[in-house]
Amino acid sequence: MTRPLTARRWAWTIGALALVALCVSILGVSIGSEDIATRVLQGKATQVDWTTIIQIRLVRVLVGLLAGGALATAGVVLQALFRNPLADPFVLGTSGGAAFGAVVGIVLLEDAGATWGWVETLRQSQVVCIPVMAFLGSLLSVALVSAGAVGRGALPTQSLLLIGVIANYVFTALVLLITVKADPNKLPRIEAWLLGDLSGGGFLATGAAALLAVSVAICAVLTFWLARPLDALTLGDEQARALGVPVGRVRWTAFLLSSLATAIAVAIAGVIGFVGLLLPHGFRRLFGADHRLLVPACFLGGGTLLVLCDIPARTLFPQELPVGIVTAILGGPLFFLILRRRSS
Amino acid sequence: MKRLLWVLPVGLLGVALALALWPHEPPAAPPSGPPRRIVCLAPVYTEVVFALGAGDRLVGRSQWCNFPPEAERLPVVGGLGQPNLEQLVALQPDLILAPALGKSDNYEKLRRLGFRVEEMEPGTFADALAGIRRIGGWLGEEAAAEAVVKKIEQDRDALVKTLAGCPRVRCALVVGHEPLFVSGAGTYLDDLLALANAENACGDAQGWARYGLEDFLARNPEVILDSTMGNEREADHQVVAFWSRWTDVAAVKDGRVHAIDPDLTNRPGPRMVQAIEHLARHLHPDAFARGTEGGR
Repeated sequence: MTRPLTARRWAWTIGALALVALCVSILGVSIGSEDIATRVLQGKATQVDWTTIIQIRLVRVLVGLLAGGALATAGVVLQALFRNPLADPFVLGTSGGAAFGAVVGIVLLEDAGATWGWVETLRQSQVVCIPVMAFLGSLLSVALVSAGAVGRGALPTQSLLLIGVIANYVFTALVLLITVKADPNKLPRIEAWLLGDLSGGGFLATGAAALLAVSVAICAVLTFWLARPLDALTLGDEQARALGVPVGRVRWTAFLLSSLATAIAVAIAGVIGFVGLLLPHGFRRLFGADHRLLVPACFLGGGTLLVLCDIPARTLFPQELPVGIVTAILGGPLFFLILRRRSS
Repeated sequence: MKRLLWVLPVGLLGVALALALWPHEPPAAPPSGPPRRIVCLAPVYTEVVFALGAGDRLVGRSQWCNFPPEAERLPVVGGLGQPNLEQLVALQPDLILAPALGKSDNYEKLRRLGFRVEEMEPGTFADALAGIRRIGGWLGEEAAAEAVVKKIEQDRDALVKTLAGCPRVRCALVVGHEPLFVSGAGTYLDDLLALANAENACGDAQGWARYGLEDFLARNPEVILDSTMGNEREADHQVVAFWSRWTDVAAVKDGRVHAIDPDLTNRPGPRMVQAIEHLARHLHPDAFARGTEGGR
């Protein structure tokens, strides 16, 4: 843990994790309800097989990499910012806001589609109505939470956490209110969204790849510009200031970037627990607390974990399971083990 | 070196922008002529397609499509409106009939992949007749659709005439127990009830609605028709057992609590008149006591 981080170790670790991510992605693309992999290997794949591989399975893998990576990155950054091991991507109201946006989209906007031209335009372009609404909802929540904390110095962690928790409660209540009043025919859709899934909704492979690139860009900024200041922040504000770190600016930037990453992930994949909490803790033990390594490692590891969890989620039963169920069932016991080892 | 690092995120964002604006392949032009490979994602559409004599053109169905029995031989491609995309794409249908309540983002995706998805809203009796005509038009079976609609209208008129002299009973349509959900005004079941010459005891509620038990007791329905237990054989016993504790309700007192078959009464399709008759047999047993034709 105390081993210094060399460029060599960084490159080897990230390289190895990237390789694992690649292998798991290939596995994810080859496994599914239709046995296409053998046909491809025999060179007998049809046009239909390629559509399935690229527009259905690859989209799932891309969304898994994107959502898992973004959530784990946001988790590790927020834990450092708040110096609180319980911080996770959803603690600041992002998930509640996203759920609110999505439900508003499902209940109100879809019927308005005919009368409001722009909803129809959204549907026909690469973007789809519900993810856009979920994204706007989570941004709204982040804005409200930030506004509540602004002007109280360099990101006051206590009030932010409290306001975040309250925002989540309020948004959850609003979601329930809309659900009670909603047309029961829409309830299955609301439920499916709230449980989260990786099918990527209406996105095709290019759209999912574009969003993955955006979240990689966010992760790169965090790695190359904010990792050292984050390291300093874990020592405490005074120490960080003494080291010449502009504490307030770093905090706000890191907070907003991780919220943005969470918002993108939640908008496409719904609320998936545990990846953002479990993986940063595990990797911090494994690779040390240096954020230059930890942030990209968590991005790759989170994506890999989610793609891996998605394989049983969609093949175990004829009906697809929400991947959040698998991550929680696997993650709970694993988290317990990590905690046990830490305390012993 | 440090300055060069800007290239990475900026480049990635550029890639993202390029990918987002990438023109996706325009869907292949649909083959001309009526569809030959149809998938139905709700049981009612399967019934309609079979009634139009086009059952042999179906290549897939939802998990719940169980009528006519021949339909059960078709491969299942998912639940109500929630298709397994992989299986659906593998079937290469040229028409997908889907309920509007499903996960429409998936429908969007299917459309972008070049499939034809027609979403249909469940509605009233009249909507259902229009729906049969629309499906007939898509399938190139206009004449068959017209015949099916005509037959339904004739049967309905005959049934309405039979029931005309019966007393208008006050009936509650229960669709959920805990919490209590009823079929209120504007629902398809409410429509069937009106045609069966009965009054909806919970007609003050709109659509499928949660209903206060207190209000329910106050409405004091003379008949309770309960579709919560499915179509199992013991459904009737379970329904009667559930309601037996509310002995103040007229329906319970008079032993007029019955289970109804949701597979029949929730599908606004070719069997609509049978559904009305199914309700009417419980509502007006006297009208059927004189040895009218049997069957559900």
